[in-house]
Amino acid sequence: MNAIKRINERLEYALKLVLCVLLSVMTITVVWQVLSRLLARVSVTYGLPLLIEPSRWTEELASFQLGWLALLGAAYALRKHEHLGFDFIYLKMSLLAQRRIELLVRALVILFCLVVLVYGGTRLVMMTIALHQTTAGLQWPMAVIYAVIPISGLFMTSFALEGVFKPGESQLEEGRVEEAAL
Amino acid sequence: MTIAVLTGIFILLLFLRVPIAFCIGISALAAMFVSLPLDPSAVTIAQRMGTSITSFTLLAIPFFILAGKFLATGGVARRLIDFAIVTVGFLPGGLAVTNVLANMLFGAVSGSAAAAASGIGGFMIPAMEKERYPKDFAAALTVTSATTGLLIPPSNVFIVYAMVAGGVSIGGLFVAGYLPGMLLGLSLMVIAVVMTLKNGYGARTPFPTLGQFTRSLIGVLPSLLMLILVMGGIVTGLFTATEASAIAVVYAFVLSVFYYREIKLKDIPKILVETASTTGMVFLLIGTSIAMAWIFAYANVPQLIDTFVRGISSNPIIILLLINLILLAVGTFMDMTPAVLIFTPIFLPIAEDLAPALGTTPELMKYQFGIIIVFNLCLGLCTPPVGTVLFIGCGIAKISITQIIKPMIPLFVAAVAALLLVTYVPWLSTWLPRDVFQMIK
Repeated sequence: MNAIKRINERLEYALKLVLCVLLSVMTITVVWQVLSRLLARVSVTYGLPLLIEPSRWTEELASFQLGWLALLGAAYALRKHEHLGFDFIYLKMSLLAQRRIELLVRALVILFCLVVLVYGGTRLVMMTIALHQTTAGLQWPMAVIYAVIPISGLFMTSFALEGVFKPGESQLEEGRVEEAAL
Repeated sequence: MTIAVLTGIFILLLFLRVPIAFCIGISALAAMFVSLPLDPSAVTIAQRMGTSITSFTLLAIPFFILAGKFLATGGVARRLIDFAIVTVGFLPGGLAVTNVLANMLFGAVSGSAAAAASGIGGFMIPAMEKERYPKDFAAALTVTSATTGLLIPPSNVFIVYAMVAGGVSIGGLFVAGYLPGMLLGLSLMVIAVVMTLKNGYGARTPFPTLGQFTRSLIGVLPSLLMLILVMGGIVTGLFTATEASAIAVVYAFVLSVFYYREIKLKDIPKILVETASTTGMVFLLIGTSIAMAWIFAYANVPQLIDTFVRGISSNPIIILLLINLILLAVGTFMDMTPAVLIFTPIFLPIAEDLAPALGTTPELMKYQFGIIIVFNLCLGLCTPPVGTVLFIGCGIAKISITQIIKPMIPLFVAAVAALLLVTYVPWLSTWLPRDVFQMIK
């Protein structure tokens, strides 16, 4: 159990770094898309020699960054116990029952991660490789984009082994949820 | 059979406190496993999730969340409240009306009802209590008016709707939300004033001096400028809604770090990671809900419900009422994102068929229905058993759900009245985007 704890602490640190970089780069990508188009329009209208063309690849690139951000972010949220659950009935049970149920929930979450994200995701990646599927604009292999599915599945499995929520604690106490709903 | 498995497992998992995104994912897997082998089931769900979360449309969601975090921690909420006090605070029911207006203004710069409830409520509930308003009334008012922000753009839930409705412009939807959101706010204000006068709550705030007004206007102007930049850019077609959201991030960053100076550069990584975490939470819900909607379509659920609804009545008014009732019921126990993704494909075709009976077109109905479904689910956020905004309001005021229900009933009735107006008067949703800004046809 201690080994898992140590591994998870490192994974969490790595995730934080990657998420910060991804989100910053994603913002810059889309801002560049707007700027390049506006600058191109200005230079055409006023005949300025700015040599800027509206960017064509930013839209696709940003969507891929989004896929990675979303699923790695979901793994981080699992680590921080932020995925919302319905605890109205659960909190009325005895602490012993709550502990037992939490173990069951861990098992269910891991089951989903292994079957759908790791297994289904890997099969999906293999299929796109076999079919030589590439993205429309950048001509990247689709496998690069879908690889985040099994990878995030492994992260989530490792985090779930340590726990999905704390028994006896409500998720919706003040300060725990800032942006629960959209 | 598929549907019985799906609903049964979903409810069981929900009660066991399995996180909702996983409840949806596991029950989708089980339902698919009924008619397909495990291998294609797992691959199909993974593939539905993969394609849905990489859509360029949804890119606006993390950006609006990030911009919202800058604003929520950057002192914007306080300046909006100051401005609301000098504009409407001197009216009868002063701070109650101020509370609603501050929530609407917050909704106009951010897209999260939960952030509004904690940002505005955290200040307004204690302030109202000090002015001799009962705590339960202050909390109930905050909770209901926080939801106006989901109708008033920018609003992330409209982006989610646009993805499933298909052929809808996000900009058009955003603009369509203004009047319904203001109508909801206005009806809440009226009821709040009536309740205040009838029960003799609160003291009256004096009329502001010119100096006070100018000071608060100068304080709030940079925040409102963001609104003009973002919505103005969308309305004039200078940029798309997704691009506008990235511009909003840059503006909110500059505003809170360099102008208001309430966020330090070293706090930025923390804000980025928090945004990624919230994004991940929302997108896992989106991915699994899309998979579930796919299974519903595969099992012909939309057709079954269509037949069922039409079997009850052929009167368009009754059918729309029925749809509203179902959506209100769904909203009480389901979170907004999955509800929009799962129920839009089911009810939108019915609503489009009813468009001529309401004197509108199927194309315009797509926008109006977006407003209707979001409005219904907004009300669901204020009701138990699953009402995120309700829980936040109760948490801030430190009162129980039983205490908040009584003062909430009149406010809820006012909100439902506004909902019915929005349902039966297409003009409320389509006049601004179609006739005024000519963004949709």
